[in-house]
Amino acid sequence: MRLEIEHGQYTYPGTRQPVLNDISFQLEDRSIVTILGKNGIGKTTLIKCLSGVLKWEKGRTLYHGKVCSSSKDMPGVAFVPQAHPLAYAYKVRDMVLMGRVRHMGLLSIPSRKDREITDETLEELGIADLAERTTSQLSGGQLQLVFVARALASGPDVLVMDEPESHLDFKNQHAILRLVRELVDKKGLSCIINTHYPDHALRISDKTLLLGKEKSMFGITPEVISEENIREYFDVEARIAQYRENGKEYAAFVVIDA
Amino acid sequence: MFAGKTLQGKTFWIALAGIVAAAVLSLFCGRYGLAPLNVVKAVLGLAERNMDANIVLSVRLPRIILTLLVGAGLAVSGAAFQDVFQNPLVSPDVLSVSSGAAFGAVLGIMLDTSESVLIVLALAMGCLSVFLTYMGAKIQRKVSVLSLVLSGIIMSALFNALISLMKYVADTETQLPAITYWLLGSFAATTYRHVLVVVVPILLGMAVLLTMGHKINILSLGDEEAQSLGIDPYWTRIGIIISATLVTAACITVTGIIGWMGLVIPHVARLLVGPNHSRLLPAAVLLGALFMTLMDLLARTLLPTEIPVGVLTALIGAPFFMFLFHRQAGM
Amino acid sequence: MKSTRRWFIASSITLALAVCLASVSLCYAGETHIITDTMGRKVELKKDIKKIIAIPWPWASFIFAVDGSADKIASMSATSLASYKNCMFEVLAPGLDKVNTGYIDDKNNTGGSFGTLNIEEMAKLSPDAVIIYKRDAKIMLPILEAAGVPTVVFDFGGLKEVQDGLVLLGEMLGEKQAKTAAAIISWHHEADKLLKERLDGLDDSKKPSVLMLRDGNLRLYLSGFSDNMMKQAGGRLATLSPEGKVVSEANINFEQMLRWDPDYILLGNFANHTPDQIYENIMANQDWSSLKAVKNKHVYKIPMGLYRWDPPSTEAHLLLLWEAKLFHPDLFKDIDLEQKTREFYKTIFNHELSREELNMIFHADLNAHSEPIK
Repeated sequence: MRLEIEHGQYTYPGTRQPVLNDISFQLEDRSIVTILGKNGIGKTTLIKCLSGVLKWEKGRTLYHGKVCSSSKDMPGVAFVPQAHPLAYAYKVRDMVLMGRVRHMGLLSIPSRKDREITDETLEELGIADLAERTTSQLSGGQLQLVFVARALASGPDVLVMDEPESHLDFKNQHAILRLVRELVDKKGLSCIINTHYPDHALRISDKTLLLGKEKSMFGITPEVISEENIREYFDVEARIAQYRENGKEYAAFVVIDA
Repeated sequence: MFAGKTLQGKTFWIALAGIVAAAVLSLFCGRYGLAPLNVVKAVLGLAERNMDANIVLSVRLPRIILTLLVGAGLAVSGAAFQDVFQNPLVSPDVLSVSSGAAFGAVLGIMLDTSESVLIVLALAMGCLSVFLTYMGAKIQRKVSVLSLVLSGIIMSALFNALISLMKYVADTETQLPAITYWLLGSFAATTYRHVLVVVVPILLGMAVLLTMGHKINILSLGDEEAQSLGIDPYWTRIGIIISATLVTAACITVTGIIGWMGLVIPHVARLLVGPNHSRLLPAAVLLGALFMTLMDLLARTLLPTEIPVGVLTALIGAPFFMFLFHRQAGM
Repeated sequence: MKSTRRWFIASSITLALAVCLASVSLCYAGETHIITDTMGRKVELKKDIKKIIAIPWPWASFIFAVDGSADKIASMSATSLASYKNCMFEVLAPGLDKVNTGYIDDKNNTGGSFGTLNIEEMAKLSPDAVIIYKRDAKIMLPILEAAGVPTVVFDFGGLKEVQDGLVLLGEMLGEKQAKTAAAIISWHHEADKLLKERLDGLDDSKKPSVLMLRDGNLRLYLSGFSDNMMKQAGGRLATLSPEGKVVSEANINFEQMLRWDPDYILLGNFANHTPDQIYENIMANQDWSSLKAVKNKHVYKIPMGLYRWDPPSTEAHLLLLWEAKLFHPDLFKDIDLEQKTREFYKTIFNHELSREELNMIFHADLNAHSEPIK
C-alpha cells in the first residue's frame, strides 16, 4: 500500500465542528484515487493534512506502511498545485528545477544531474520548447504542465493534484487527464486528485473518496459514483449515460431538471 | 540551453571586470594627488617617498578592500531580506536590523569591548530587532506588508532612541568621540585591522546566502508550496535571516550605518538578471561591491573634507528608489 | 689596455656611489629623535621640525608662543582658525588665515576633537608632526600611523595637562623652545602658588558660587579645565550636585539656572553671547533680572588674548588671576592684572600691548556694564 489515511480527523483552531471526520482511504500502487465533494467541504484541507502542511487531530497518514508526521517522512509524495499566477516571473526551467530541492543538501546548489533531470522531465511532458519562457508568459494549460513537471522532477511515486483541470479549456482538461493516466500506467506512479467533475473521476480513477458534511464514502469509482450518491452528496439530480465507440465504454453525467 | 549558460557567463565576467576596473581606478585616485606612475611604483615597492607607499598600500588599499566587502555584504543581505519576507520594500534598514545592530555596537563601545565582541553584540541585537519586528507585525497570525514595514519603523525608532540615550550618558572623553564618529557611517579611518575583523563573518555569511539562492526561490512560492516541495520554510527562513543579519552586523560594526544599499542594489540586480535568486544574489554581490567602491571614491575625493558615504548613498538611493517604486506600482 | 680602463671606470663609479650614499646616510643619521607622548607611545620625530599640524583647538597658539613664530604651523582646525581671527593671535602672527583647514570636520564636536579626517588631504601637507588629543586616539591613531604621519598624543584636563603638553612641545621643537615652554610653566606655577597662599584654608561659605556658560543656549562646558580653574581661583562650582558630580557639557534649562542662582556668571569665547544680552533679558528669551549675578552686575565675558582664556591657553595663569580678582577682590587688590599681562606679552612675544589691545583682550566693551575689576 503506497499511501493510506486512517481515521483522519481535523478541526480548524477556533471552530468546534471537525471539518474532516473519520476519513479513511487507501492508495494502491499504480492507481488513481479521486476526491470529490461540494465546495468548502474540506477537499483542500484533506490535501493539506495529507501532505503534512496541517497536522491530523486524530488518525494518521501512512506512507509505505510508515507513520508520517510531516512532509519529510513522505519523500516520494509530490504536490501539484492548481495553476495560479506567481509573485515572481521565474523561467520555466528554473521553476521545474525547484522540484529537485528535496534531493539537495542544506547548503548545496543544483548539480548537473539536477539540471539533466529537469531537462528530461520537460521533454517528457512535451514542454521543452517553453524552457526559457517566464511563467507570466504562459497560458493556463501550459502553466499547469509546468507544475506537473516540477512535481515529477523530484522523482516521486505519488502525485497529489489539487483540481488540475479547473481553469483549463475544454481540450486541455482532457489532455491533463490523459497525461495523468499515462503517468500511472507507463511510469508506475499513483495519483490522488481533487476534482469537481464526477465525469473525470469516472473516466480515469480506480477508487473515489466522496466527502460529505458529516460522512464520507470510499470505494471503487463506478460503485461510489452512482446516481443516488450524487444526489445525496451534491444535491444534484443526474443520470449516468453510457456511450460506446471504437470498443470503448464512456460514461457521462447528465443533469436533470427536477 | 547552452546559449543561456554562456550569456550568463559573459555577464558575470563583464561585471567582474567592472569591479576590478573600479577598484584599480580607486587605487589611483585620492586627494593626496599621486601621479599614476608613482602609484605603480608604490605597489611594486619602489616608492620614492615613504608617504607615497603608505598612502597607496596602507590607506587606500585596505579601504578599497573594505568597500568591496561591505558593498557586497550589504547588497546581498538586503536581497536576502527582501525575499525572505516576500516583499520588495523591506531591507535591513526598514526592518530595524541596522539600528538594532548599531545599538549593539554602541553598547560594545560603551563597554569598551574588543572588536570581535562588538560584532557578536551587533549580531545579537540585530537578530533581536528582527524578531521583535516580526512579532510586532503579527496581527492575528497574519503578517502583511504594511504591518511589517510599520513594525520595522517602530522598532527602528526604539533602537535609535536607545542609541541617543547612550550618546547622552556616554563619557565625553573616552566614549562619545568614538560613538559620534562611528555613527556618521564612513570608511574614513579604515585600516587593515578593520578588514581582518570583518572578512570572516562577511564572507561566511555571504557564502551561506549564495548557496541558499535556490531555496529562497522556493520560499517565494509561499510556505505551503515550499513545504510540499520538501523544505522547511520556518528553519530555512531563520537560517537566511541569521546569515543576512551576521553580514549586516559585521558591516555596521566597522563602518556605522550606510543606508540604501540593501534596498536599491537588489532591485537593480533584479532588473538586470531576473528574480531567480541563484543569479540574483551573485549579481547583488557584484553590483554592491562596484557601487560602494565608486561611492566611497567620491566620498574621499570630491571635497577636501570627508563626506560620510551614507550621505552619498542616500542622495542617489532615495530618488532612485522613488523612481523604482513608481515604475513597479505602475506595472 | 681596455680591461684595465673598464675596471678603473667601474671602480670610480662605485666609489663615487659609495661616497654619495655615505654622505646621504650621514645627513640622515642623527636627524631624528624619539619622544614619549602622553599615552606612553614612543614617537620618532625629525629633530628639525618644519611643519606641525595641531588639531586640538588651543594648541596652534601654544606652538606660536613656544616657538616665537607661526612658521612651523602648517595647519589647524577650522575652529582654531575662527578664534585666530578675533584676537591677539592675528595681531602677532598675521597671514595664518591662509592655512588649509578643510580636511578636518570638527563642527559637531567639542573640546577640540574632530569628526572625520581626510587623511590624504592632510598627508598632502607632509607634516613632520601632528598633535591630537587622547580621546581621538582610538579612532584616528591607526589611520595616521598607517599613513606614516608622526603623531603625538596630548592630553586634556587641567593645568597639569597643559604643562605636560608644553614640556612635550619644548622637546619636540628644540632647546630654545623648551626654555620658552619652561618660562610659561613657571608663570603658571607662580600664579598657582600665589593663589594657594592666599586662598588656602578659606571656608567654602566664603567662596562665591560660579558658573560658566558656553553659549547663549545655556550650554555648559566639558567638565575639566574650566571647572578646575574656577575652583583654583577660589570659586565654588554652582554645577556641583549634592553627590559631588559636576554637570558637564549639557544644555541646562532656565529653571536650573534660577535654582543654582550663581554669584558669578562667566561667558566663554566659543560663541557670541554677551553680558548685555543677560542684563537686557535677551539671552534665551528669559527674565534674568532676579538672579544675584545680574543684580550685582557680576556677569563677565572671559578675556581672549593669544587664544580664548576659557579653555586651556598659554595665558592660563592670567585667567587664574583674573578669576581670583573677581571672586575675592579684597584678597587680590594688589595684583595689577594689566601689568602682568603686559609683562607676559613683552617677555614671551616681545610685544608692547597698546591700550586698544588691552581693551580687546579684556573685552572692555562687552564688560562695560559689569562691575569693574578692582
